[in-house]
Amino acid sequence: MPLSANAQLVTHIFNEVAAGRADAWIEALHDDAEYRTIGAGSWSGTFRGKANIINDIFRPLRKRLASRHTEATRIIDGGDVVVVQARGKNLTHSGVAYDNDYVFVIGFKDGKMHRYEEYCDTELIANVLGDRMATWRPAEKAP
Amino acid sequence: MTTQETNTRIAKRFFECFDAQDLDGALALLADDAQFRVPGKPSESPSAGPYDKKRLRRLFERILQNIPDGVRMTFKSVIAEGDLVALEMEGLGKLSNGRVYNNEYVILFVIRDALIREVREYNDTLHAYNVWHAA
Repeated sequence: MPLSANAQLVTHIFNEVAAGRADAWIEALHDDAEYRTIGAGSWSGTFRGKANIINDIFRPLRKRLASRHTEATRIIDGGDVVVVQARGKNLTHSGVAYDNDYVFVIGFKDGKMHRYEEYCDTELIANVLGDRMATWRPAEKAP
Repeated sequence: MTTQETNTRIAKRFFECFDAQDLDGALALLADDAQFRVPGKPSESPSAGPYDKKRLRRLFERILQNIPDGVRMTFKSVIAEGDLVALEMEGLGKLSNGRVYNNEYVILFVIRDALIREVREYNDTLHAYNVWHAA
């Protein structure tokens, strides 16, 4: 059975991300996207809007990580919803491995990723990444 | 019924049995060589890692000993393709020490020939640690 358009998009995005080209992921994110990481820690919660997602999650993450690699290991094509099983291999600036396992549940709107739910090892996040706000500064906020 | 529908039914049935504290019923849905992986790093969380059927029974028994009224499992969504099923779920239960376990999950199943071959669980491991293991 051929892949749905959404699963084709996700497959393309994660091929690009695995090759170190994160722009494809950003490009495919809807301007009004909601990104939610499970849990109650400082990296958890719902982040609304592409600019806020980049500013509030990915900028602090870049400050924490010296090298990043995420690879999809399995994609489940549910048509309207696509599930990605993925493995991260990352290193913090202080040399600590941050190798998390993920499931992303992705919903779509206008051909872009709109609902993005991240299920991952939140205890590892707390132990290795620490407090997200410790690396976030208001001056970084996108215009 | 399509294979996908059958597999979805089996995946949901597994947690319906667990919810009803019917461990025999849940484990009967697993192939004898099935693997169940609990998330987290074994170095950080004592219950993390792979389980075969025998160890899984002991893990479930331990959970239910500590949550006498059982864990209510609520399905939020189902995504299925071929022999793969992903369940988004919430679990809620009260431990006998008064702590409340309220976790959210994605559970990935590989199901072939009407038997569960592989289960991979993803959940809020920090919450699980704080409820089950923290002093």
